[in-house]
Amino acid sequence: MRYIIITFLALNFFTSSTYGQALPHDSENIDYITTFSNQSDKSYGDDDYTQTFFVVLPKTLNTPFFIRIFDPDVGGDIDKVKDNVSKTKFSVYGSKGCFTDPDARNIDPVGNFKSGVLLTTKTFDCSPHFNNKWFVFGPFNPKEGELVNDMDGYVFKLVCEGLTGRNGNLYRYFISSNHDQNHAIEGANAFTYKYTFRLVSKENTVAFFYPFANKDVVSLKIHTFDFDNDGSIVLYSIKKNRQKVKHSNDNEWSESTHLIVEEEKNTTLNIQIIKKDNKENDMVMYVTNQFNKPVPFYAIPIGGPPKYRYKVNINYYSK
Amino acid sequence: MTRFLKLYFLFFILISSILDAQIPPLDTLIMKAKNANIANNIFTFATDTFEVKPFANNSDFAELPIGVAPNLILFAKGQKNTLGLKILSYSLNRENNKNTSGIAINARISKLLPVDLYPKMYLTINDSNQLHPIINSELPTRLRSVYKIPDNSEIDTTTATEFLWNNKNYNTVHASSNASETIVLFSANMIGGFGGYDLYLTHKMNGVFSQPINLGPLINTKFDELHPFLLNNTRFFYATNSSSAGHNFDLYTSSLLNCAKYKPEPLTSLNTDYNELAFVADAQLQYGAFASDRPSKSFDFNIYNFFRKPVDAALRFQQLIKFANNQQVESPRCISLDVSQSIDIEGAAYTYTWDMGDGTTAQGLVVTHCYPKEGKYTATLTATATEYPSIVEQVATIPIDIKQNLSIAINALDTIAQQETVEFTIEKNWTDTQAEIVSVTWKIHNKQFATGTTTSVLFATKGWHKVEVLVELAIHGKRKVIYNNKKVYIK
Repeated sequence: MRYIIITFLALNFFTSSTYGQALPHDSENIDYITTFSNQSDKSYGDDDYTQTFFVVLPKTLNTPFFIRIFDPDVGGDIDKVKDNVSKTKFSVYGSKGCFTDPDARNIDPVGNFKSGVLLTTKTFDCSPHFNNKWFVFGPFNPKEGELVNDMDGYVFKLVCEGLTGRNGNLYRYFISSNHDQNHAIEGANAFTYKYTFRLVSKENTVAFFYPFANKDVVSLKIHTFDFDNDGSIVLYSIKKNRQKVKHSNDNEWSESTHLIVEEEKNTTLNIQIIKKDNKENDMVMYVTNQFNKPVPFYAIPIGGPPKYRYKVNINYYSK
Repeated sequence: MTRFLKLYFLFFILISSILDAQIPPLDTLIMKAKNANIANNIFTFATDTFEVKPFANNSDFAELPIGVAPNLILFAKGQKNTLGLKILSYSLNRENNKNTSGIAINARISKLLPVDLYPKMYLTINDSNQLHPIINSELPTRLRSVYKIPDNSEIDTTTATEFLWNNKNYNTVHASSNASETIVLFSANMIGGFGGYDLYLTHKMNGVFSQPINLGPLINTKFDELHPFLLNNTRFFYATNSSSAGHNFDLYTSSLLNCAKYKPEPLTSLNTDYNELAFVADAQLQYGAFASDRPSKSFDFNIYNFFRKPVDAALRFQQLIKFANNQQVESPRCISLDVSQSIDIEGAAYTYTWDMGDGTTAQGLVVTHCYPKEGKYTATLTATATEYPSIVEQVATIPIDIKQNLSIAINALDTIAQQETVEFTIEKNWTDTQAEIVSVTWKIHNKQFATGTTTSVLFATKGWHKVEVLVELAIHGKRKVIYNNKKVYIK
């Protein structure tokens, strides 16, 4: 029943004028974004201790906006606590190159992945000051982002790095027009090329991810890390009715390749993760195309979530 | 047989994915033009009258048609002292069935054929690269199909392209493709069929042809099914020797859309107690050819051309009026709902639950239900993923309209000026899924007859004139006739 309710609620978000941006978005049905500190074991569910998100604000936005972070500390009730020395750094980048620099869109945080102009940064430790609370970056002028014409908007880059220690930081973002409250911005969206997240700790819940296959995509390879064999992962689209995706065991990577047919090009696909049990589970996922280039996951699916096309033939007859 | 049935089911599922919205359903083949007569109506092909004439150039050697075009017939002809056949092309005058431009022997393929025939032409050859005559299950000869004879050759089969599914372990013969070359039918005696030669389908998806799929037990038998001819993306013809007492080959037709559900129709206008095979026709089924060994001046198999006879409207009206007692017929009250074409064989398995909209529910890929009362209903389909019970989705809603009766009205002005042409059109109160119109025949003022959903009349004399119409329809294969009339006043 939760699945149906969430689907219904999710649909409410997918109107022609979309409002953003909660990260994770409610429609994704995942609890938190996860970034572990760089001395933690990768088997906890983070392979590179870094998470990069891109936020796109519509070109027409003329008012300032804020980046609110829920529970940015790395030692509170929500986080995965192993010590009291862990630190996490949040940074916001804008200006030319913050998105278009090739290293910015790499799967791994290498090279010039912190491209662009650093607009602000803050490091959090285990102190409880922001435990279960919001911290706010901003105000930002939308024009401080990088103008990307293909997206018709200004792009900012949010980078979270796990610094010292072994704790796991579980947190959320909200891109808001208001400093003190989460007020959505019409037309905003967010995306990432590699997602590290905490699944909802309840059996039979379904998480949703929305990679976009542009017109040039012929196949997609779905990579997962440390899924712990905790259920099933399926691929859903207008032409695929939950085809199985190979998933990983503890501290392992797995990949499976899926052909993209003509009707799926320039559409959003839906990777669904159906959880098997109630345990905590953090994992990593990314998608590449046939050229081994990463494909973005959009928090608000472009064109709305896909719906598999059913065809029902009706015939009338007399008894 | 289990693997075989899986393949058969696979065919039934996959066919829709390629036949999709781009393919007009059968009912739109029936009434395409505004003033359509039933020329395109495949449904009545079996009972319509055709004029059959032996080809003027039949000889004592075997002749088999390969393809037809408006003024041309391409055929294979036997030769003296050799097993192989030669391909010949004749320009054909369809009025007198005679060759008009002399014999073209072994001319270049592209010059023989119109462009729309050439790319699709498959030939069946033996290991000596000779064009092979009539297939016989008992002959051990190795046969295969080839196509795209190089243009600069004299029909040199040695350099032709091998058909994708040729296999050294069995014969693949008589391949036939649609215009866009995305669907190919062929006959083969591969292991795993129903026996003898069976018909198979291969279709192109994402640039790759699928594994051959057997057309199933309603088409294929333990005897031989040969010479499939794909008329368009759905309608096909073939020959089988399964049904007649003497096991002679007869011609049949069916549709890729429903050949898994409905028996094929015999072409009763063309079949005899002798062998008929190698059917070819134009896209509108106005003319075509086939081979038969019925008694004639020439021995062996000969070509027979057929031409669809124009509908005699007066005769048709006379035939139908006997069955038309009413101005309305009882509407069908039962429906079948079928979601089986939506199966993603690589996707999850689902349980399908139907709410029929009147308080009844049913489960399954295909369900039937009869409504006790007329009215408008909405059926909804819910899919539950078998492996993931938390995934329950409403996936379709289907409007259902159960009428009291089916009837037609005649649309036209009530009062018309003399010497003014007026158009009469029928208006039906049902959808094409409820009943399909087979024919429409008009009788105007007891003198004129016409066919088609619309007819134009010029009334020469003043006064009242009666216009009558007979609409022959098929409700799930059962024929009914509705009558109506209208009086118009010519002032």
